[in-house]
Amino acid sequence: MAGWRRTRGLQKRVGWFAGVLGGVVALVVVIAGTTDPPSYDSYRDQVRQTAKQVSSAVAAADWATRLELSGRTAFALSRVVVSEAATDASESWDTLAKRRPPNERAMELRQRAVGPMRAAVSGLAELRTAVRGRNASDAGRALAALVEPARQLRELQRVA
Amino acid sequence: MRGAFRPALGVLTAIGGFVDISNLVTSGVTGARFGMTLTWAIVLGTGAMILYGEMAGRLAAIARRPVFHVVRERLGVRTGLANLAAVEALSLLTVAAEIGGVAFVLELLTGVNYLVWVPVAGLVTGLIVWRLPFSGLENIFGLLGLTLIVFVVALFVLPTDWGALWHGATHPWVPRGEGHPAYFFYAISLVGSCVIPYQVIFFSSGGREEHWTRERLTEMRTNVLVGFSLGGVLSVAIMAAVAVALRPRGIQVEHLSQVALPAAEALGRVGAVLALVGFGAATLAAAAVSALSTGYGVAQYFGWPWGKDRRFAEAPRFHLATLSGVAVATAMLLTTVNPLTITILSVVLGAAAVPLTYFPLMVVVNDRAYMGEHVNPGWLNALGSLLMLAMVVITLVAVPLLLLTGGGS
Repeated sequence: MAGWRRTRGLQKRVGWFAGVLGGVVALVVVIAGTTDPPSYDSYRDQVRQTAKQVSSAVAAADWATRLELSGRTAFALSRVVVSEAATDASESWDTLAKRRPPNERAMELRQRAVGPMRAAVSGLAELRTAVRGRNASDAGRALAALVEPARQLRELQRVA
Repeated sequence: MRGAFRPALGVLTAIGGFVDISNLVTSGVTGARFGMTLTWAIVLGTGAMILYGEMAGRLAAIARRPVFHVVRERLGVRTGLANLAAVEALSLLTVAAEIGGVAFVLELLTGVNYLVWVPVAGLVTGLIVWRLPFSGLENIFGLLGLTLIVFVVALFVLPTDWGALWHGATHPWVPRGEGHPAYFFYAISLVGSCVIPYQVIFFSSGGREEHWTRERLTEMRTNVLVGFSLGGVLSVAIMAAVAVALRPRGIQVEHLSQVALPAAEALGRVGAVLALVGFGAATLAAAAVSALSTGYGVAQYFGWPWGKDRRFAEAPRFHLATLSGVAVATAMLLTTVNPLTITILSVVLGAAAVPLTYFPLMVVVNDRAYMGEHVNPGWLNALGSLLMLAMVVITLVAVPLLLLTGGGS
């Protein structure tokens, strides 16, 4: 009987705990569902974030390619890293490109971001083709072409 | 090698149950984004796993029954069922994530998209859990997974600033440019990748498969200490290698492939091969371990015959439950859902569900009817309760942080 009471008590406590947890989750879902009105600040944050993601993809692809060219990787490791980087950069840019700048200032920022982002995305696509084809000279050219977009992307991450 | 030290189960538990796809990815992501500042989360998770792993092993050795069997008997059918449902759901997510991890490794080996490899990875996992003896599972994957030590070696070859690593590990502040929500989200992810709900099920069931008794408590404790500590060390090494090699380059880890690059940078082709072999062994072992845990849980709850080394005819429902778990997880992946999304979800929800699975264990190992003189001593209960409190806090904030940070992005 005592064991049964203990079990019932434990079940009540577990039920109470689950109820509180459910309430907290529901509250957060409601809060997360509310969206801020579009503003320059949120647009700038997204540009910064995208610049960071594309910049990261360029750096990963650059590094993996250099490892491949110096014979320091195995199997398809470098090819996969470069391919994933090209896809990531392309998807990040596509997401930003679909968003309409909320005001004139945001539009100017977009104009500033378009050049390096497109150059990085197309440069990574060329690099992917070169690495897949095991073409060292094309890979070297593609890497060189990514230097300037990479620098501009680093600057974009610091935009005010 | 019967005796005081036969650590194969501990090493398998480290490789398959501790260092798995979730651990590889979260250690990599956090090393790249937060440096070593989240080392404390791995230490906390490893400490909790050692503590609860020892309790589960002691229960298996003294009561000579696995965790689920006793939980249902001691806490009642309904509480046991809630426990079972939580563990089974999380184990299924984990099986899917690990099979996805195996497919990722096959992609890294061949260059062919991982989706093509998902059915193959599912089939191989199914064959392993069905046909490979428990000792084979322990020895093959434990040994192959040890190649992950390449990340420890890499740290000595790379231009590692040990002072900076130590400073980061001992100053757990949020790095500049990162927010508190993302920091704590990844802290929870790391804890969740260490303290895995199905782990106690597997460890205690494995103890029964190895016929642990009270005379072998020392062996069990050695397994716990060696296994989980090794897992913790490997996780910290991966985090550190990524912090040393990827962070200065501004690379954010988005894929498993990137985690292998520090080994290639440090040791060239040999480093890359060892890292990939380690990834393969860890994910395949984890797929097998989590799949077995689905079978163990269901069979032990319903009181069916179970055992990895029992033939199909001797324990048909156990084997069917295990293989069904593999089939469902493979089907889940074939919907093209990203395995890394499943990984993050399973880790965070797993962390949130820890009290549900570990609290009943605490209750049972304090019951003299089952444990006799081997109930928890006072200091262990105090430590266990403190960790449980931390886990309850994690439970309360895990899902809100998951939503607020958009999965840590």
